[in-house]
Amino acid sequence: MPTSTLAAFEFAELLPLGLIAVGAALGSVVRDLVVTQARVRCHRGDLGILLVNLLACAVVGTMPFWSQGNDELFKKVCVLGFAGGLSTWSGLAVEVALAARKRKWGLVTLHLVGALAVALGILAAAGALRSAQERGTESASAAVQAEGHA
Amino acid sequence: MSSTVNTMRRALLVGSGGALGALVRFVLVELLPAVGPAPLRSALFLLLVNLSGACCAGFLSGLSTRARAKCTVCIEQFLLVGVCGGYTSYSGFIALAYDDWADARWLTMLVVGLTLVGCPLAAWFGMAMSGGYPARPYAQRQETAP
Repeated sequence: MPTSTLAAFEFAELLPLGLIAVGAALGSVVRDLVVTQARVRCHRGDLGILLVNLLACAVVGTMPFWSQGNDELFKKVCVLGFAGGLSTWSGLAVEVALAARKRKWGLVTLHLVGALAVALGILAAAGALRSAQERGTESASAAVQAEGHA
Repeated sequence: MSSTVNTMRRALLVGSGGALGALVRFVLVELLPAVGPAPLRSALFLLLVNLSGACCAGFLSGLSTRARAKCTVCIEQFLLVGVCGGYTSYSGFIALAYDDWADARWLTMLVVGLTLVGCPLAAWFGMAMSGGYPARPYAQRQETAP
């Protein structure tokens, strides 16, 4: 196999990994920034983790709106990379475990059940919006075709 | 100047750790389920990733309370915030639960339940293993009660 073809093949294999790594690095830095600021300003690092987790779910839910047809590329960078680095289960698990140790069951419920409900709601809302948008596009196309036939 | 250097160093440690953790997660959740005679659910692999990540995070957070100052920076910023944070994923968990709900309702409910209960328990177990936090912080109070 020619060297240039081999190099192109290797680059094509490594590019998605590179994009995921860059996205995840950026997401992790943003997460650390938000959680640190929440800890310093409000003494509530757990709320910072809650915020970044919900933000990452919003990124995942709204990705189809702004991917402009480049779904695979955006999926790698934004969903697997940035949103994956921005959100965290390990930090959340440690905070919930610490809250459970202190018998703060309200906080445990908020972080487990409350966050789950809100996150699923975000995705459901984004999905409903996307469906409405697609139905609107289909209706417009059908109307244009009907006018063309008439 | 030193605070800027510290901030940049922290960003470098967290970012590089996050990238490493995310790449490992990508291999385990996206690539491995496609290997083998039948496609396995990515959700199950993500469950294992989140459980193992939570356990490691618990262990490291307990360890950081006992380690010396120089080790603490590496443990906290690179391993705990960076690698464990990038390795586990809440958005991936939510997205897979949402996508798989229509196809495999019972499996999805099982994975969600195991994740919600298992990850904090895994973190607690990790803390207990590290010795940084006692497994039963109220044991002393119970022993001294009349």
